Amino acid sequence: MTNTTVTFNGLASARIDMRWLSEAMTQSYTADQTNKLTLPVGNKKIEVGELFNISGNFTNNTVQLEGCTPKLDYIGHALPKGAQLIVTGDCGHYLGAQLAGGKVTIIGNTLDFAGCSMREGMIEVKGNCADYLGGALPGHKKGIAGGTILVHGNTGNFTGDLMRRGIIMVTGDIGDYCGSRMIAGTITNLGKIGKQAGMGMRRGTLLLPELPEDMASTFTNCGRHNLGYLTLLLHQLRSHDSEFKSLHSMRRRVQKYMGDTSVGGLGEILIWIG
Amino acid sequence: MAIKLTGGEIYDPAHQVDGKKQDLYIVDGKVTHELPDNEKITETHDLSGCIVMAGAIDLHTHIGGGKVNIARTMMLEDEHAHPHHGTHVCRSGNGHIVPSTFSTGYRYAEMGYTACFEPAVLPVNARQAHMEMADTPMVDKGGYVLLGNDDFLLSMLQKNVSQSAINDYVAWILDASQCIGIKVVNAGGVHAFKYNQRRLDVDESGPAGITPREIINKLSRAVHELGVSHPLHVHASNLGIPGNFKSTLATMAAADGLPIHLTHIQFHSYGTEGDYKFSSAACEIAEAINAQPNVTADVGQIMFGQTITTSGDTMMQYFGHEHAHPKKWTVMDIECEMGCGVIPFKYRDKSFVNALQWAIGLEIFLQVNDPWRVFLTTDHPNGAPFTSYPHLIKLLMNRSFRNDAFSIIHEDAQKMSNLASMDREYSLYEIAIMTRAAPAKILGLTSQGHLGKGASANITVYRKQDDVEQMFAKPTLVFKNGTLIVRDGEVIEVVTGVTHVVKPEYDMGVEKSLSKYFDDYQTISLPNFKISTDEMIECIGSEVEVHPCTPK
Repeated sequence: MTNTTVTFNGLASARIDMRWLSEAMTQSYTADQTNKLTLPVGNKKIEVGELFNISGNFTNNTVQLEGCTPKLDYIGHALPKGAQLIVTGDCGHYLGAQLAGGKVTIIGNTLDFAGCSMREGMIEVKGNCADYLGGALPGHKKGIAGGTILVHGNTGNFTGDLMRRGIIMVTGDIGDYCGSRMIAGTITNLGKIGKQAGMGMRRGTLLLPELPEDMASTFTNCGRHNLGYLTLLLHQLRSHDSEFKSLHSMRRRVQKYMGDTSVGGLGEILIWIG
Repeated sequence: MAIKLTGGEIYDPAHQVDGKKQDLYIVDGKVTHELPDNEKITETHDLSGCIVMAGAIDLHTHIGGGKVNIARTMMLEDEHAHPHHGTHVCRSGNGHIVPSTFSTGYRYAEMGYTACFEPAVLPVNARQAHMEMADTPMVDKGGYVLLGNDDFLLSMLQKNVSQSAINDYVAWILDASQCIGIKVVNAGGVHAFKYNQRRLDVDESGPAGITPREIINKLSRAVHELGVSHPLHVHASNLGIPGNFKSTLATMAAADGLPIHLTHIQFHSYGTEGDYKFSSAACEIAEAINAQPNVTADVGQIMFGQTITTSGDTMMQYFGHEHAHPKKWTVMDIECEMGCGVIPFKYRDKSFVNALQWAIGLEIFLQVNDPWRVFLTTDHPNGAPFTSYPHLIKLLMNRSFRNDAFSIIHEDAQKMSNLASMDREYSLYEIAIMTRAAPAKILGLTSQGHLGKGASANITVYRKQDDVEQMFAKPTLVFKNGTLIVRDGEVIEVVTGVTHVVKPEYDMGVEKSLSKYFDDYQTISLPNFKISTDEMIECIGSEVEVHPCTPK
């Protein structure tokens, strides 16, 4: 089966809301139907066909988006189970927002709010992400509530803000305020981590290779632990094709910090030992 | 250059015109009934099959000021879910419950409204409120400035100063804040809340030793004696509390027969009967309004669905914060002048209390006999967003539609309401009164709300339809000062309205004591506090129309 390919011609004067692509994928539109969808661009309404070249119909579940630029927001918004989107190029804001089981792969970087308020599915970014990765849509009270985000690069500030469930895996560095206001879930990385990690976290786990800069005084050092469940977690982390495979599968010794005690303090920051 | 509107049925209650077919002309932005000599008709609109009314006026809608912005930022999910894309004339915006400023103007114009009044302008926030309103295009604006919980007025009352000194302060505040009326929110109650008091009844002394009755009495007298057209605009005590109708009746009595306007009275018409200890007191309230010609009221009807409540009444907002939906809220004090509480709320038809609130609002509409003294509002956004007005009009005009809606609300609420037995159906003439003529009259807008000779050409034309909701939601033509701004429910030209204000006379000596108060307690100095007319025009960006006061 040949893939459906959507190519952006890059001629937009303003930001573009890409929710039409999710609509076309979930409704299995033909190329003709899709070309005629109207799209607000700045103060004008234009047809999708004027900005995108579509080859093939949206009757199969895998779609390739080529020539993507940071002007395209809401790529892969709320894609359901079974839908797969492969994006080449850098993406705009709200990539994979409210994802509902689909899979989005980006060969490029993303702007803010990637994977925000997603419920299920997988986002794989072969590049860097900006702020609020896996955070909450503005106004919403929960960030990522399920699924996996895998970033083969670095992420910005407030990674996993208001995270509720799921896993965020980052092979590179994470910016400041990682896991801020986290409700539950797991964030792990292999590189450095910025200031004030876990600020306001209620529950959840940050699994890190080294201590964050400026660790808040509201985290309590609970000593060294040998946690059996980490073996299970590592099995999950190593199941993806990424640098996480380099972690030894039986590793489970960590230094444990509990916090943020200002909001209950049931969260944990685990630092690998040895 | 004249525009001729021919063949339409005119509803102009200010001149007792009830559906008469008559031609109208628009010359230089004014209405006239005969074509003046030397004028040529450049444009004719055939309005056969259409209803012609003056532009509608909303006398109580929260469209500007700090709390609206807090609501906008708090309900980002609403803003996010309702994007309004720009067109070749309109700017983009968003939001359904609390739309952004530009969208607010466009949506009002698309429903045929040409003037809106923000009822809660804090003196210290007046500059920001006017700036937001200046960014609200299409409609004329105005504000009611809040008094009654500010330290300065309470200290004046403590010292038992003369009525004329209070009049001077009230007039000064109106002048300094560029407003058209005075509003009191839970008189003394917001002040008492800061002293940990959770209730304050009308005849109960607050921490300053002053009762709400005294505050309302002094302020209503001040407004009356200064000759301000709009009576004291009162948000009574005990909002939302079962049994609060007694406080509402006491508040009406506190005015001592002087004009008083009770706002969102639906929220103040609750009894304590029945198994739920919550019942309708609409009958008592409507009877009181019918019996006292000095009392006017707007209803503040609720509609089912998600909305957000924004109020200066921190005491009652704090009381209601546990019902926030979604669970986020804020309550704050603002510069010891007033407070602000913002709580999202979802009214549900299957909730006994919400269902009965809905019925109480309609009961008040149907039991107040004089449409000149009851106004159509939802206290936007507290009861519902203003975009639900057409639906509300249909509920008032169509008994069977109303009864169908009534039959699906909470069953126990149906048993506690006599709404189904009410036969009254509002006529188009009465709707024109309560949305046009009466608000213009009570606000002292002599050139608005009617279609007499010389009136501003704010005209709304509806194509007659069986479904009045559809009809009122999408006027076929709307003129603002003679400019065609809306065609078939869509904005085709953007105009800016003016800000309506009053400037009663006062003794400048009041600034002497105020100056000391500002130096000692306020965060800005007195000269910076005052908003001049020049500032309104040159910096804030809104022309000012001053309405005369006739001191008594």
